[in-house]
This record gives sequence, C-alpha cells and structure tokens, in this order.
Amino acid sequence: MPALCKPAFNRMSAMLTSIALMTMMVCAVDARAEEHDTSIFSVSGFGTVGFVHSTEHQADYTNSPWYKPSGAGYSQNWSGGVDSRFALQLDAKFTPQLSAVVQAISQLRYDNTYTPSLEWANIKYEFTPDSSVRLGRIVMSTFLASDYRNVGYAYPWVRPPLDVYNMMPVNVNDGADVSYRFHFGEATNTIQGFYGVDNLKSPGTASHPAASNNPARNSWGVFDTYESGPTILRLAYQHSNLSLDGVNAFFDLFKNPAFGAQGINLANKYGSYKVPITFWGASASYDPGKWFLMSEIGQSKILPSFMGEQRAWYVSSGYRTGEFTPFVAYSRSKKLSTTSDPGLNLGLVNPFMQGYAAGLNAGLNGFLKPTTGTTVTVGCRWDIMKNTDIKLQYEHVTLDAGSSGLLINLQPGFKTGSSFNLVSATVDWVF
Amino acid sequence: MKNNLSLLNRLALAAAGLVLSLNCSASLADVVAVVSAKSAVTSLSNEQIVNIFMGKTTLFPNGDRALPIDQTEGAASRNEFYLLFAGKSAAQIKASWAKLIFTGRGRPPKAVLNDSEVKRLLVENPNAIGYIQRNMVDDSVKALTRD
Repeated sequence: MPALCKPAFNRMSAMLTSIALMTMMVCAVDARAEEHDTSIFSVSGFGTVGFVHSTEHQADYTNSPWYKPSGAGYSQNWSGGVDSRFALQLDAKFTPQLSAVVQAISQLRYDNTYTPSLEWANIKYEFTPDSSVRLGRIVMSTFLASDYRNVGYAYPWVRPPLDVYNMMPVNVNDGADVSYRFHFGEATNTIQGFYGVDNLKSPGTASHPAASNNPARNSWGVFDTYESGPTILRLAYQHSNLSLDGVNAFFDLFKNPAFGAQGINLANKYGSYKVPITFWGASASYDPGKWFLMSEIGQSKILPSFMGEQRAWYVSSGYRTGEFTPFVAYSRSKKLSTTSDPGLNLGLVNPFMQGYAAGLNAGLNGFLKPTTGTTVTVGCRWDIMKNTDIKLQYEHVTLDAGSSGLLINLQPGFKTGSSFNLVSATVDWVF
Repeated sequence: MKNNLSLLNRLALAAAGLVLSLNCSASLADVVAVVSAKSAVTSLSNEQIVNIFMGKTTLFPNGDRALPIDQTEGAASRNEFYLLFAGKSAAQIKASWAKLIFTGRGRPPKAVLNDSEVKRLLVENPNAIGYIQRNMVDDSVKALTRD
C-alpha cells in the first residue's frame, strides 16, 4: 500500500468507530423495541464464560499467546481469562445494497484488562446478492473458523485447534475486501480478496516492559470456498509484512557497534523488521448433520525472522446424539526451520562484552525454540437450552523436543519438551 | 391356548408399534415447502430449498428472486422443517447462523409466528417461499414437490 493511504485507513477506522458507537447508543433501544425484520438496526451478541486448568504449573496456557498476558497453570490454577468473553454487535441495513456491522468484544487483552475493543467495523455494499465490497475492519478468514473463532456457540470445541489457529500472528485487517460468489447448480464457490493494514498490541515482556505494537503492513490474501450440501472445501493464501516492535527491541541489541557486522547480520536474520509472511492453507469439512469430519492444514513462512517456517494440521470428528455432541481432535504443529543458532562468535567480541554477548545468544536461542507439538482432544458439547451450550474438554499436549509450545510466562522451573493436560469447562450463548 | 394368546398379544403390540412409528414419520413428513399459487416454481430439491433458507442463494433455479419466510424459534413447524429438509436440529441451525451473523455475512430471513402467517405473506408476495403443515395447504398456496 502506498504510504499516503495509511493515514486514510486509520482515519476511516476512527471515523467508523465513532459513528458506530454513536448509532449504537442512539438506536439500540429502538432496535430492540421494533420487529427485527422491519428495522434498519438490529442488535445481537454472544458470550462465553469458561475456565481452564493446566497441569503445567511452570508456565501459562492461553488461547492467544501473541496477545494475552496470562493464563492457566502458573498465574492461575483455573483461569477464566482464556475463554471468557462477551460481544455486542450492531447491524445496520440502510438499503438492500448498503449495510454496516460493528462488533465490540470484551476479553482479556494485552494490558490485563477486559476493555472492549472493536473486532469488526465495516460498511458493505452489495452490487448483487452474490458480489460485495467491504471497507473497514474485517477479521481475516485464514482458516474455516478464523473469523468466528470468538463465537463458541458456532463450533463444537471449547476453542478451535490452537496448533493450527495460532500459526498466523496477523488476524485482523483494516482495509477492504471484495467477495464474489458463483453458483454451479446447487453448489457455490465464493472467492474473496482483501488488502489492508493492521496493528495488534501485545503485552510487555522482560526486555520490553511496555505494551508493544505489531504493525502488519501490505496485507493481502485470497480465499476460495466451495460449498456443496454438507461439503466445504477451502483454499487460502495470504501475505503481510510484520514487525513485532517489542521483540525487535531485543534484536536491536545485536546492532550494538561493538558487535560489528556479525551483530547486524544476526539482527536482520532473526528480528522481525517488516518480515514478509506468506501463508497457504487448505480445509475440508463434511457435515451431513448427524456427524462431522473436518481437517485443515496450513504452512507459514515468516522469513527472515526467528519465527521461520511452520506447518500445522488437525483432524476432528464428532457425532450428534440428541443434545450431546461428543468429539475428538488430533492436531500437530512442526517447525521446519532452524531451532538454534551459535549466535555471536564470542572470539570476535571485546572481552569486556563477552558476558553480555553470551546473554544475547541465550536470548536468541530462546526465541528460536520451537513452539510446536501435538494435542489430543476429547470433549463433549451439550446443547442444554435454546441458544446456550455447555462444553467439557480434556486435552493432552505433548511438546516437541526443545519446545515451549504456545505457553507464556515461562518460569525458571519450566522444562521444554514436556507434556501436560488441560481441562476446560465453558458455557456459550448467543442472543 | 395361553401361548397363542400371548403370541397374539405380541403381534398386536408389534403392529401397534409399527403404526406408531409410521405415524411418527408421517407426521414428520407432513411439513411441506410452499410458494404462492401465483409462483412459477413447482418443484425444488431439498438442497435448493435449504440453500434459500440458509442464505446461500437468493434466486430460484428459474432465475426468479426467492424471498424465504421462516418461522420463529419455537414455532411448531420450524424444527420439523429443518430436521426434515436439512437434517439439522434447532441448535445446529442457530450455530450455522451464528457463523454468518457474527462475521457480517448475513442475517436470517424474516420469520413469522405460524403457518397461517406464512400463508398470508405468500398470498401477498409471489416470490415468497415458506413451509407449513400439509393439512394447512389450500388454494392460496402451492406445495412444492421434492425432486
């Protein structure tokens, strides 16, 4: 994207936000009072209250290791911050062609608060019922359930398989997307393309205590979804240039003139300075009603950076009997690129700086550790009453050798490559 | 003699059971998709009907615009319709809509309270399609055959 457009997008987001919040306040009452099909506005929402327990007490388990500050295991025995959330959505349909959607969500975020943030805020224009353009904030549909990953009621598990769903650090886009659906008999094929920018905030770290920005620029992608009766097939490709400012604060230390060219080379090789991300994914789902079988695979390449190249897949199935849907899932992630580096050659470093350089090397290898492993999941969803479900889920996570998995807040007693169990209980609802 | 009687009893029970189960499936099959008597549409497949109600298409196969008239949650015919035509429970239909609503991809169709309301709207709009109990079908609407 040309540099000139960026402020325009930011301004647009801010404008959309204020318009949306104003209309929400003014019209929420009206929308409730009127018939939903005759009013311009409609209000809906969803929520989850959930608690998860981890047997790994030397680190925190979370559903969002990039963006959440704590979780279950070390910080809390049973954590409510992993799955609990509440969202309110306002839809406006101004004309048959022009509509808008705003969704605010309250969940644990980088600053350890539940301050609501805007998850969706866009206006949509439908040229025909099968073709549309949207402007504003749009959640990326990287995987099948990515754009409704917060809506627990919409899927069988407590949370989508994280080995797969967490492989992309970029998941929201401020920009534009176009969508075109064609029909082949009773089947449809929808092709969607997007372009834009994003900046998600992450919690502070030891080397960068303040919350940090993670600007993603030049994001674009294409998703193609084929649906025929119970079958969904999907292909995804996307790209971004990502900078993790908090992490880069550490890699900047390698650029100390005392380390010369080898320091700069290491910083550029493993830092994340506008690093290009390329991702492809494929999904298949078969759901005739009584049971389901689905599988997704993705591969990300974030090079040159410490994140490197990673592949992940899962397969999941469930059977519906009355109000109960017992399910199983198996997921696997694997880091394909290097997981260690000798770092700075201490022989070329001034003796006074060697201790410091050895510390940086240790830090570098901490970043290069894989975050991969396998997860076996068994659980059950119970549709206990209208618009409400209860889920119980057990997971056994086995980390790869040297891996710290998706865990955060690693304590000195934490051992990489370990295995641990998770138990989760949630209530999901929609209204 | 005693044995014969008990055999007869068992046969009677089995027959009653069979009748019950037939009744059961007959009552399930008694929801029909209907269009206005003025509509050109005469038959649709299950999948075409489900596609219209689930927002996957806005057109009948003949190219006419399709306006689905749903029934509100809890209406007698609603659960029967989705179970019979889509093989899905009320909760599954709600979950499918949750995926579309909370991603800004669509809103559920207009929903009315009961079969009579559906018929009233069908009379007003030749593009409308709904579902009602077969015994509610009269001259004002046309039951679609499923091919």
